[in-house]
Amino acid sequence: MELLFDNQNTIQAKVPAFFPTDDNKDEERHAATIRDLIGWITRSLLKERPELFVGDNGSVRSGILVLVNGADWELEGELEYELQDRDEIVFISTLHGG
Amino acid sequence: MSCSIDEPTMTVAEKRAKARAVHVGFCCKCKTTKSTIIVRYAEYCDPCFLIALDSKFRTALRNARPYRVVTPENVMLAFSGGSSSRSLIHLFDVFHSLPPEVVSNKQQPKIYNDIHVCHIDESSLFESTIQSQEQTDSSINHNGLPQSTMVQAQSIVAKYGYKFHGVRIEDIYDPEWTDSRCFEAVATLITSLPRDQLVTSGQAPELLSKILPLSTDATFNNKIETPSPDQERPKLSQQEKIEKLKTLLGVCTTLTAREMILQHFKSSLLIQLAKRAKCTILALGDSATRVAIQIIGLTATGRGFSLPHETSLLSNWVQDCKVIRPLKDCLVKELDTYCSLNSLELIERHSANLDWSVKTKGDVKSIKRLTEDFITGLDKDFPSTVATVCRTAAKLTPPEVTYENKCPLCLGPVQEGVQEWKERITVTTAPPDSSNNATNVSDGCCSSNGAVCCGGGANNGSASSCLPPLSKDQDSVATLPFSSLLCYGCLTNLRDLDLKSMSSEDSQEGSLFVLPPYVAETILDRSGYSSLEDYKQPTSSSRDPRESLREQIKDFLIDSDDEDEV
Repeated sequence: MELLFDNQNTIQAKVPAFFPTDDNKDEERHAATIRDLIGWITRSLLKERPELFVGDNGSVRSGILVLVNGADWELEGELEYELQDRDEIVFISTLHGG
Repeated sequence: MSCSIDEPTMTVAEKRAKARAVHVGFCCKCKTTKSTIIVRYAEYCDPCFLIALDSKFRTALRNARPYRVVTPENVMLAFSGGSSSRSLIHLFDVFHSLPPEVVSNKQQPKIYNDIHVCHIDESSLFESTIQSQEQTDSSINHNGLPQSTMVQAQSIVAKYGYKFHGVRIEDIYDPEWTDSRCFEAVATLITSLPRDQLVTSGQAPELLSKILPLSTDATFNNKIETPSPDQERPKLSQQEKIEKLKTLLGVCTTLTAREMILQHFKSSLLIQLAKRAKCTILALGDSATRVAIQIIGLTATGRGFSLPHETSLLSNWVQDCKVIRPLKDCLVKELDTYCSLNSLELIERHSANLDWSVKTKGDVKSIKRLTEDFITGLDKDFPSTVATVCRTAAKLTPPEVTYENKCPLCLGPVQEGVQEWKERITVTTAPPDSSNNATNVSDGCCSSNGAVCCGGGANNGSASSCLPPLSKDQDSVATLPFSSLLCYGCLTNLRDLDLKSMSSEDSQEGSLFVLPPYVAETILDRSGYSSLEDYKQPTSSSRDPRESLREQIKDFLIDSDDEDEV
């Protein structure tokens, strides 16, 4: 996973608090969710091989664990979780490991 | 009433989820703390999760090796650097360190004597994966090699105070890593068909092997420049070993074949490491997810016969060394969470990515990776997938084959009559025309322009009766059978070798297929030679029976040829 992000272990990043909704009207926007975060990471932080990070419908690839402040994202609403200030999101790849 | 109809259609997991729904958002064990981890519908808080995982590990360990055994044994933990094997070390440590109030109790028998940890460093295979990047990367040290994982592994193990054994993957070419510890020879593969016939005849050629002294090319080069000081036992340099390994992997045309061969080398090294350290137990960190992938993947690659040995909780296949998989019930997700909860340091880049130089469009996939995608993808929507696959395969019982009959490459069990069966089910093109055969035969077995195809030819049905003709010029070393010794999985796997780069029996060029000493040793062993010296002396006892056998076969070939002409 680190390799995809230029060997960085932790990245402190300022993520836009609001993202435009799908129809690209500037007035309509919603609070940033994990789904937006993944898209944003792919565009701005990912260094190589995006197919190893992003999967179908804007989610991460199956086999990547996501922890929101230490808790499994499945408990937090997965993609629809709204990011809060100073949230810690951890991505752990379970593939090719062992 | 409707409830009673609906209920049977609910899966166990759904029922459990329903039962737990009362405490939704709270840990299913203590029911007081907010849950943070969800594993197959079960929600846990951090402390309860750790307890649950630890007891799962203890149960598996007890099942693999009952506590009531009298003599404590040494155990070797295989540590790759990934989360599963990292958790394995930590769980073993938790298991083995007694709480202070028990330490004084002398009656407590020791269950494991010494704990050793071993690590196989694959970093020599890293560099070409992202070569373009690493040119500028600072992680390259002076030798131009990417950073070794050995140091990291050693420092992790040092914290636990366990004995550390490290080996590099290219050391598979070291004569030390064989059963006899000094088997200084390698096996080269040759085909029974001359090169120009390979393309035309669709026949899968019989693979033969030759055992050559390990240092042939090394000393050849050295003699010109400087005579190497230790002629007695010339050692291959690290670089030469890496070259050899890379060449071998390079001639595999598919990623699947490459990964399989590397896997065989690794398991051979692990077993050797365990035996070296006098460990009678080798513990692998295979997680449930991994085992499920293995089950499907190995079946797909034709390794169903050895499947029980490679996926079971406890395997007694290897002599004097039990292989256990105590994490077989833990999902990889659990282990990853375990590592991050305990903030266990991992080696980020520990396994080699072998998809270099395979030129295909788009993503390069191997059977293993496709299976991985399949299992993890399915498991996302149906969290019981992994457990179901594992539980089903756990019912398999290992085949009854003696360890002496092991496959030279994967050291797994070999099923009888593999080649005959394969010939029956495979559609091949017509054998080369008889006129071609006739000239060869009239010349005698070792014709100068083309060797007779003994194994795959039409006039010889059974491959096992094949005796390869002795080649006159190649240092008078006899060729030994190879494909007839292989298990079905390896035989199938080796079809992906690039045969064109393999030297045929009559050619003078050296073969690119140089298999490590452990393979050579097993081939010799199974061909009936007691030692390397025995094999090297063709004039003594070994040659005469072969000569006479060749005579017999020559008669047989001429006979059949006569019939053809009539």
